[in-house]
Amino acid sequence: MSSPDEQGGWRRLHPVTPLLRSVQLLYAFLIGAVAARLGGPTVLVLVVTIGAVALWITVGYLRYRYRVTEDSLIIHHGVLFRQRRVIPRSRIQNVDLRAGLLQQILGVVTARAETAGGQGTEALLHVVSREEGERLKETLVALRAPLDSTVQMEDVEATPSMLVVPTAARETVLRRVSLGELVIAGATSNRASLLVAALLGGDYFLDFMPTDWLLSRFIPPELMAPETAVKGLVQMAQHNVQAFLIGLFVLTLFFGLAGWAISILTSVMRYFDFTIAQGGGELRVSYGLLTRREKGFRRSRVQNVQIEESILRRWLGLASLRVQTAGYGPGVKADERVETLTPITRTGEIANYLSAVFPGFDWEAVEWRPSHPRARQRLFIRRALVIVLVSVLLATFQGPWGLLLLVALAPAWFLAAAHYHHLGHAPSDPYVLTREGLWTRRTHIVPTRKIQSLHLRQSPFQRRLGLGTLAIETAGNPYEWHGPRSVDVGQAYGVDLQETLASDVTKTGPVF
Amino acid sequence: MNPLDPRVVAVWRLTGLLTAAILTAAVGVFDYWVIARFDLSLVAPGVAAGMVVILGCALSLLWPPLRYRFWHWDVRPDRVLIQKGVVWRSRSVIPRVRVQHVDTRSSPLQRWFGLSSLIIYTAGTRGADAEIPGLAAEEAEALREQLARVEELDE
Repeated sequence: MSSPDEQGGWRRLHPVTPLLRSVQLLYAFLIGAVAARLGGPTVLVLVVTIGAVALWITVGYLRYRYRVTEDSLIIHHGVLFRQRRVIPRSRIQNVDLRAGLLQQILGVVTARAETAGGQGTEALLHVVSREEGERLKETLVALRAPLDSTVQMEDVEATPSMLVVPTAARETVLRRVSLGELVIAGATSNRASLLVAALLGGDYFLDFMPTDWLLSRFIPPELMAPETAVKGLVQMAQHNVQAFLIGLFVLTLFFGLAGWAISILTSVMRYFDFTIAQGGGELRVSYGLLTRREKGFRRSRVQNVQIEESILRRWLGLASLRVQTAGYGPGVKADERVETLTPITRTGEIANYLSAVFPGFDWEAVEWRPSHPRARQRLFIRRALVIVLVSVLLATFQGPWGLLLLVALAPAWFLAAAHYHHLGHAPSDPYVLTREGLWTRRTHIVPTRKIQSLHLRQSPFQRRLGLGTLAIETAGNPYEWHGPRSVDVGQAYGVDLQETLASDVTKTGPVF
Repeated sequence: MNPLDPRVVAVWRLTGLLTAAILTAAVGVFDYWVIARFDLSLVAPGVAAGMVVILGCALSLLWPPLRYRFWHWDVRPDRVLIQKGVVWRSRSVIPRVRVQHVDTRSSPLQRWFGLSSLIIYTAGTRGADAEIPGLAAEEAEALREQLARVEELDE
């Protein structure tokens, strides 16, 4: 990047930027085509719009300049409206690098500087060369770290001498996830079953899988229905039970294997060469086959860690871990607030990951407390209501045999009892842990000083049973699923716990 | 625990009635439009609008006193407490060291009754921002000042 455009520290983006941007030409072409459709000389409109966009891209590239100074990152850009953005280094949380397939081939990356609680004041450098990305990352993140008081508090070993050492030099790789592990991750993912359902539904309506061909190999042609294989199978059930059963078996196997294969493939592609490294107060993950992602986060910014164990993974002693960080602008998508700590790990290794994020945290010493015993009743009633409702509806509309469904109440009780065992919480100052979920158990580990507020909520049913759910609010909770919460604790106990935690939070003092 | 200012009931009632009026107008227009356009006389015209009027008025007159009865708040030396909910109860505790900033806000209707809302912001993303809706304007101002002062002391 040492070229004539570097004057007084000013730099330009990588010269391939206009090329990558020229994808926008496609839009221009579309606009031109639409405009031409509406009337007017086609060629002229096309030439003008494409020319205008090409000019826009070129001028935009020429106008975009950035500079790293002692204390900030300065960006000047804009074609019509000139913008000068100054981002103080102290506000930059970290620099993420990301490269799509085309970008990987060209050896360039998209660098994004994320700021604390920023309202869109982040910098997107699209695109710079790989080396420049690394350089930006090191200069912008490494130099700033010692200014941050929370990091010093956490990392006693952080001495001022680290000021001069670049990040890369003191980075140690904690763990690399092998290809075999990724295959296991994909095979045991809940996504596999979702994919099977999606494929089945898709084939039912669109007939895009070679299921007809497959079925015709096992079933005499006169029994084959001319419609999609799945529909045909339903019709077959009325004519020939044996053929139906064979078809069902074949299709189940086929869809199961297809869904599984896709799940494994996506897992491998997304998390290929997953590496987690540690340097100073920062953890850095990099992964991906086609789109390579490289993300760093500071330990002090971690709001909570989530351990996810689907039922299949629980049996196999496996889990996946995610961290939730704050400091991303409100416009950032929820899934970007959550970073994968590892796509798959043996449960025995969880302690290592946790101590990498929370030094001094002892996973083995956590003492889980169960929810209130009456929670079992509520878990049962929730299931029983559905069963009773469905069986009553069946009995009214289809005949009295519908009441046979009430037999399902017995397994529902066992499910409720099993579910109860997975509810729990563990206040082990300076952390709070909560867990819930039967099919997918989610365990949250929240540092007490990251708690923003505490809410004890009661539905009318819970009130009758004297129960409540204590929700623990941290910054950066995505909206996708419940945050950390302790379901169905006794009401009085919940209030006590809430007050105790609030006092613990107060003791940690203000943290920003 | 402190109750809200009793005048808030009137504010809630008026807000409810206003909403009911707007809803009635919308339903009425829709009613009229659908029947005129497609000649669909499912029910006698005006029945839907009439139901909205009755339900809206009943709810907006009867609900606010209940809501008021279950609304309690308290500002303690180190935490803010909010307890509310008629059907779904909630009890929120916000440690004062986590309060980022505090706003007072008042709608025209609230101003008319001399009330303000106190809004407490934390860094939490969801449901962490607490609002105390009906406080006497002077009290809200005083609370805002008080909460802001502790922030500075702690720093």
